[in-house]
Amino acid sequence: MRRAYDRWHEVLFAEFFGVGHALQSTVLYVDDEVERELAERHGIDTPLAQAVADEMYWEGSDQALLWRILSQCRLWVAQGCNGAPPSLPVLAASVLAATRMATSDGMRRTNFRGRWYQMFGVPQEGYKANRLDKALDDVAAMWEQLDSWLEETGGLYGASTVSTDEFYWRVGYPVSQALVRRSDRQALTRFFATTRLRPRNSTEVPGRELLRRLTAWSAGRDRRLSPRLMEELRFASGSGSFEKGDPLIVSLLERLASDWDGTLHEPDRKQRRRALGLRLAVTDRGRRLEWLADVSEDIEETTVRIHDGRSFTLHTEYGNVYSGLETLEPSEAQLRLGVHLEGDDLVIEWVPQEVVLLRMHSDLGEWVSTEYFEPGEQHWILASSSAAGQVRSMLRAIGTQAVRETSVPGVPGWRTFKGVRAVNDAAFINTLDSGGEHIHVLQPQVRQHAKLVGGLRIAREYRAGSGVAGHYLRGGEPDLLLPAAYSPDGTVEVALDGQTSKLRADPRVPFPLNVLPLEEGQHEVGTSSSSQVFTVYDGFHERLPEGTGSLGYKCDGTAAPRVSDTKSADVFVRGAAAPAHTALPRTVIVKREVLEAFFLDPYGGVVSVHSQQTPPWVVKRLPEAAASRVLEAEAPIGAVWFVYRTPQRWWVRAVVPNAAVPVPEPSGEDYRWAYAVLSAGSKCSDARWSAYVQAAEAVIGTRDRSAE
Amino acid sequence: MTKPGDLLLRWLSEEGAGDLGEVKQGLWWLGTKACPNIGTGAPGRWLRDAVSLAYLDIDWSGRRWSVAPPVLTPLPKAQGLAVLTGSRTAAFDRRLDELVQDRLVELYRASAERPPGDIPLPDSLIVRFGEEGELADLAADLGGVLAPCFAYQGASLLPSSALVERTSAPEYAAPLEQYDFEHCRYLPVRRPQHNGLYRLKRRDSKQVCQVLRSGDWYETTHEHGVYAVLADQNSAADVLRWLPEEACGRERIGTLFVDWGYPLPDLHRRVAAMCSGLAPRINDAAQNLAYDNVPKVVAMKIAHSLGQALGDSSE
Repeated sequence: MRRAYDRWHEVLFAEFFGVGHALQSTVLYVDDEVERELAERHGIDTPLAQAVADEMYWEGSDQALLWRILSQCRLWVAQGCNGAPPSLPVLAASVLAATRMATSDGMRRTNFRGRWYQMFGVPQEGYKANRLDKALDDVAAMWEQLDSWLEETGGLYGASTVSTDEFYWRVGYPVSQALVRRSDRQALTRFFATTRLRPRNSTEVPGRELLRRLTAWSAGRDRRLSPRLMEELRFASGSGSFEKGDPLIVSLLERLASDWDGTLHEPDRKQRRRALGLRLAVTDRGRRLEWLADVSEDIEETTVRIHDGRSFTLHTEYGNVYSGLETLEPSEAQLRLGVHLEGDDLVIEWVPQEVVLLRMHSDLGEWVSTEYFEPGEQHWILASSSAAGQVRSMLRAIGTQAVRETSVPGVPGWRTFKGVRAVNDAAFINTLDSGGEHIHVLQPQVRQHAKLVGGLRIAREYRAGSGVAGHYLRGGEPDLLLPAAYSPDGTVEVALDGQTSKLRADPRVPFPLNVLPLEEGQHEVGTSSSSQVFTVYDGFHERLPEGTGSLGYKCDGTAAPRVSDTKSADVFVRGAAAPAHTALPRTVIVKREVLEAFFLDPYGGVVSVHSQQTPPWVVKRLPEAAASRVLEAEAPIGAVWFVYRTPQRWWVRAVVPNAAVPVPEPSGEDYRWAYAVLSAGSKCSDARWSAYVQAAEAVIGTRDRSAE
Repeated sequence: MTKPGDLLLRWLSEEGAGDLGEVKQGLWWLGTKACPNIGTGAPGRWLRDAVSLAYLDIDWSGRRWSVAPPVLTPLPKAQGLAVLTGSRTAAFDRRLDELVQDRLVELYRASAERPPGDIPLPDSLIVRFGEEGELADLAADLGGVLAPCFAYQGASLLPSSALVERTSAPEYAAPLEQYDFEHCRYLPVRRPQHNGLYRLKRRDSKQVCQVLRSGDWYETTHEHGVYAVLADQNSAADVLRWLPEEACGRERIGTLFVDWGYPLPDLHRRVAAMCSGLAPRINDAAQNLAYDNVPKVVAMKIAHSLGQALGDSSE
C-alpha cells in the first residue's frame, strides 16, 4: 500500500502545479476546508498533518526531524528535479498551520510556531517542540527550493508567489501562502483590472501602492475577499509607516501583480478573458458624463454586452481608449450598483463607489476617473449624496480655497467638487493622517523609487541611453516624487547633487524642483537610496531649432484655410510673416511732439497733417512710456517731402529716403507750398531739397515783384 | 525669474515643433502651478491665443504644431509701434536684452489680462520705431525678419468660409453632435436631420466637423463651419461689430467685437490680434471678445471673408 505522504504529494502537485497553472500565479493555499475537500475527492483517509508526522524522525536526535523528506529532496535534485519537489506535503502542512493563526487558545494571531506544534499534537514547550522548531529551518529551505524550481521551470508549473521578509523569514514562507486563498485570487484579478493595473504590472506599481488601493477597494464593500485576507489588510494598513519593513501581504501582492497576465481568474471558463476597469469621464466642460474604457492589449475591436441585453461594439480610438460606449449613459443606479460589461474576450467593470476621483486626461483633455491623488495637480471629485458632506469637510480641511461645487450631470443627488488641489502641504498631510471613510480619494500613490514628473522637457532626442531621466528648461524643472519612507515621522531627506540639503520632505507630496535656484547643467536629486539625474538649460539653440516654421498657410492669391507643411517651394503665411500682397501707403513717423506738418509734392501741392491723440488702447494696455506723443502720417500719392515743426525748430525729411526726387515744378501761384518749403528752408543740406528751396524762393520772388 | 507665459513660449521656441498632446501636458503642468484655479480647457485656450498672437501655427486635426520664425511687423495706424512675435528662444532673449540695455531698441512689454482660470500668456513685445529701416536693422540683429504690416497683408489674403471639401456622410448610428447656435454648444443627436454643423469622430479616431447642406456633406473646421452655416442662415447675423475710436484723427481705426460662440478662424483671429499685437480683451458682461486698433478696412475684410456684414454697435 502506498504511503499517505506520497498520495498527498500527488494530489497537491495536481491541484496546485498541474497543467492549468502554467504561467499563472500559484499559491499553495491549504486550510482545513481545502484539506477536507481534497481528502474527500481523492479518498485519502490520513489527514495531511498525520501523513507528514508519519515521515518525521522522532526516535533520536542523531538525525534531523525531517531527514527522510530531506533525503528524498536530495535524491530529487540528483535525478534532475523531475516533477514537483518531494517536500510538497510538508510545505502544505506548514501553510495549514499558518491558516490556523488566530487570537485564540491563548495564542496571538502572529504566533505561527504555536499552531505548528499544535497541529502535530506537540506541547508548546519541551523536547518535541524544540525539534519541530528546529525543523522550521529545513522547511524554510524547502520553500526556497520550491521557489527556485518554479523559477527554473519558467512558469511551466506556475509562477511562484513564495515570499517572506527578513524579520520572520522562516515562518514568513508559509504565512505568505496562507494569506490568499483561491477565491481571493479570483477576486484579486478583478481588483487588478479595476485598478487598471497593466498586465505583468509593467508600470511597476509597488506592493505598498497595491495594498493602499486594495484597502480602499475593499473598504465597506463585499468584494468576496476571505476574512483572513481582510484581516491581514486591516492589520497591514494599520501599521502606519511600516517601521519594521513591509508586511508580507505587500510582497505577495507585488508578486501576484507581476505575474498577472491581464485576464480574469475564472476556473469555469475555457478561454481566459482580459479584464479592464471602466472609467468615468466628465466631458464637454463638465456638462456630460460618459463611460470610458482603456484599450486592452491586443484587442483593437470587440463587442461587450450589459445585463439588459444591449451590446456595444468597441473600437480603438485616439488616447488609447475605446469608442462605442457613448450610448451607455451613466446613471445613479450604475454608479451605485456598478456596471458589468462582458464579451467573449473582454470584461469591463465599474465597481460601485460613493466617491470618485478624477484627473485631467492628458490626451483627451477631459476629466477622467483615476486611482490616486496627485497633490500638485487639480482634481475633481464626484460624491454621492450620502458622501458629499464628508467630502466637503475633507476639502475644507486640506485648505483648498477654490473648490466649486455643482451637480453631476444626469445623476441626481451626486455632487461634483471641482478644482480640488492640495495647496497647503501641512494641512493636506494632517488631513491624510486624520483618516476618514473617504480619505482614500486624497491618498497619493506610494512609490518605491524617486521619480521625476511634469516639467518642461527639451531636447527629447538626446535622452535615449544617456542615463539621464530628462533635459528640462530652466524654470520648468520637474517635480520630484519621493519614495515612501521607513522613518518614524514618515519623512525622507532630500539629497541634491550628493548633498543632503537638510530638507526633510513628506513623500506624499511632490517636491517642486523649480523653486530651487539650479544652475545650468546636470543635477542628481532624490534620497540616499534612490535618485534621478536630469539636466537644466535655458536653451540649446543659438539659431532657430529645427521644425521652426515648418507649418504655414499656403498662399495662392488667398491663404489656405488650414496649415500644411512648408517644405514645398510655395509661398506661405508663417506666424506674422505674410507675403506682400497689397501695396501699402508709405507712412512717416515722427517720434517727437509736432506742432505743424506738411507733405509736399513737386508740383506745388501741399497737404497739412493734423495732430493726433495717443490711441486709447495704447494708454490702457501698454506701459505708460509707450503713450508718448508721436505723429504718424500717411503720405499722399506723389508726396516727396515731409516738413514739420517741433517746439525747437523745423525739420525736413524725404518721404522715400535715398530715392530720386523729381525736379520741383510749382506754378507761380503756389504760395502756400512755397511758404511751407521756406519755413524749413535752411534745415536740410540735401542738394535735392536745395532745388525745392530755390523754386520756393522763385515763387515768392515773383509774387513780390508782382506786388511792386 | 521668467514669467510663466514667457517660460512657456521659450519652451516651445526651444522645441521648434512637435506633438500637440505633449504641449498640452506641459501647459497644464505649469498652468496648475501658475494659477490655482486653472479651468478646464485652459491649455486649449492658451494655444488658440498663441496662434492669434502669431507665436505658433497649429495643425489641429493632425495634432501638431510649429513655432513661427521671429517676425517684426508694424502695427496699423499705431503711431510708430511694431510687434515682435514668433519664436523667442533663450538666445533670442539674450540678444534682445543686450539691445535694450544698449538702448538700441525702445521696447515695451505688455502683459495680457486673462481670467484667473487661464494660463498666463507671454508678454507682447512692442517696439517703437521712427523709420522702417530701424525695424529692418533690429530684425536682422535678432535673427528674424521684417514683414510688412501683417494686419493689412493678412487681411487681403483671408480665405472664405465657403464649403469646398466634399466628404462622406457620418457612419450610420455612430455618435454625432450638432452645433446649437442658440446655446453655442454641441448637442448629441441621433441622426443628421437638418442642414447644420455637426461634430463626429471618424474611424481614424480624429474628431472632425462637417457641414450638412442640401444633402451634401462638407468637411471643415469648427470656426469655418460656424460661419458657413451662419452665412446660409443669416448674412447679417450681427455677431461681428466694429466701433471707431473716439480719439481725434483716428476715425478709421476702431475695435472689432466678436460674440462668444462665433469664434474667428485661426488666421482671421491672427489678423485681428496683429492690429494691436495684443490678445483680445474678454468682455464677460457683453459676452464678446474685443480686438483693439483694427482699421475699418481690415474689419470689413474679416467680415466679408466670413460671409457676414459688419455691424456697428457698442460693447
